[in-house]
Amino acid sequence: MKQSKNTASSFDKSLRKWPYIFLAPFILSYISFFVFPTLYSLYMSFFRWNVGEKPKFIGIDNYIKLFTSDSYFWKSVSNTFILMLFVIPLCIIVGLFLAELLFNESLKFRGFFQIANYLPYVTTPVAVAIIFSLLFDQKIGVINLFLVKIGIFEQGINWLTAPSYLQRIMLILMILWQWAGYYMLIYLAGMSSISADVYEAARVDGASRIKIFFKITVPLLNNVTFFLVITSVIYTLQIMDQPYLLLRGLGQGSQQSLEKPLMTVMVYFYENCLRQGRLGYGAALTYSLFMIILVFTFFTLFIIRKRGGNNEEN
Amino acid sequence: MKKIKISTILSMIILIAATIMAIFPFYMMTIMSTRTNQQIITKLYMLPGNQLINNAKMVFESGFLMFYLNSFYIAVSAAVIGVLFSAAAGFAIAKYTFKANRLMQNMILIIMSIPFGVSIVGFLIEMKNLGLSNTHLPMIISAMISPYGVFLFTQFAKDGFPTEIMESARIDGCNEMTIFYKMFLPFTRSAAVTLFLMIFMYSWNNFLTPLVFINKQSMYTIPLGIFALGNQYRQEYGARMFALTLATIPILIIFAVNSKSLIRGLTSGAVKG
Repeated sequence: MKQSKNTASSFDKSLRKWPYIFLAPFILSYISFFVFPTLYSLYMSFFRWNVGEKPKFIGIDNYIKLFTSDSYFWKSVSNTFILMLFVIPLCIIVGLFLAELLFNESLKFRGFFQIANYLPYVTTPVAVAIIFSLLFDQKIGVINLFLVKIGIFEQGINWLTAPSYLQRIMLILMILWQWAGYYMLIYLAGMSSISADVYEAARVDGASRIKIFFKITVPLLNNVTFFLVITSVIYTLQIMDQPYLLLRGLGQGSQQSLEKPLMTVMVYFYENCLRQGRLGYGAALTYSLFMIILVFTFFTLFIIRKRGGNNEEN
Repeated sequence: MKKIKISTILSMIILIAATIMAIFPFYMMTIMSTRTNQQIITKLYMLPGNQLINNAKMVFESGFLMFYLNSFYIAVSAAVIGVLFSAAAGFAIAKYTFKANRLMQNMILIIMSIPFGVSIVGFLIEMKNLGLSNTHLPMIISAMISPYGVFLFTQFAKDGFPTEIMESARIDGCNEMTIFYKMFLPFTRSAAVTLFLMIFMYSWNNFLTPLVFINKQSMYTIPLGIFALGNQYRQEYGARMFALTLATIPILIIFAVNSKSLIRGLTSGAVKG
């Protein structure tokens, strides 16, 4: 009896090191290539750290400059927020609508529709931006040709030099095209986790499809919407590839491009900090963006929680 | 009865319209890649032409094949390493009791939501000091670290990999490493496929990291190559479109074929159970 207890505990002892061995590769790489550079960025943000110069400690001057006198930074922040405030609701509406149409086991070609609609999501953003700038091209773009044909424009316009609301529309449409399928997929997965009994009961009560959609499906998908909003806020505030490619496709001087509505925070970071070797300022900028993301995420969380609570009370 | 039919037809029409919109840009891209420049800028063609070979020649002369190979080996290395690291960590968290276990589970959820951008300036200096700028390692490293993957494997291991199997294997004299390789990895194969595809996609599409680290043309990845090629051959629409076709179509096929795994990966964070 005593002996078996001994072997058991020595067996346990030999096991004790294993979870750490299995965790080590991930933890070590995470610490050395994410935690360390993140903290180092913070350290750098307190320096005037320009490539080719000796770094000079300047305290929080970078942050002060960023928040009080860098109007282009604030412009890029507002560009990014405008983009986000249109893209996320549009993606939710389109994605939810497509998912509702697809959520029907007997629908023909269901799998095909599903795959075809999520293909844009897996496509390289760089490629998407180039394809779209051709589709929107002044002379040969399909979209211009179509708009002229149905009489909205008299002649094709150059979207990239057009008034800024048109540039925003172009970017929003492009991102909507790319993401709607992803939202659709997530909503579909959410719908299939709703119990069929709920729908059955509603149908027995004679509820119409539209009523079922708004009174049952949408509220029950609250958590999914919540997940989508939070992850998209984090992602959209950091968006760079698509607006940058559209911007660079123009081949304009950087002063001119600073005024563009395509100048999102990360594009500004790349063009005005990284490319110019202003690393300390860039670090301060990314930290500020991170703070904005954090605040906004909590803000979103707060609103959703509050509204969710009200719903439950009703 | 008839009313149901009409709504089915209507939803079919809307779905077809949405699908056409989703696929149309890919179609145009493919058509343009078979046309001459002159044709593209004068008229809207909806059917393929015969310039594919010429466009292909121009693209391959620019070293595009090299970009392809670079992207491919970077994405595969990052995905393989990422899957192994995440699987091991998930295995440890789900299947062993140790002091920091709870802490680790909560940590993973928190670090999953920290944006990558905040580390980039420090990462740049770190890689430079390690002498790794102008190598492909920064790209492999930044893609392979996947807290989400750890989360995925933890979930899979909890639900799908019975602890009794491990115990009987231990009695048979297997050591823990053997259990991990011979039993856990095959058992959680579907999580591995999912994560592999997700890291592959991230790495293949990543633009900022190569833009920052690579300035030698022979080391370009696809997104960087497309970008540079765009500046070099600004007016060569046909060739540019062929390059894009080459860059996107194979990936679209891989993902269409494996769509089940990818969908599971994309949705498992959003929908519990």
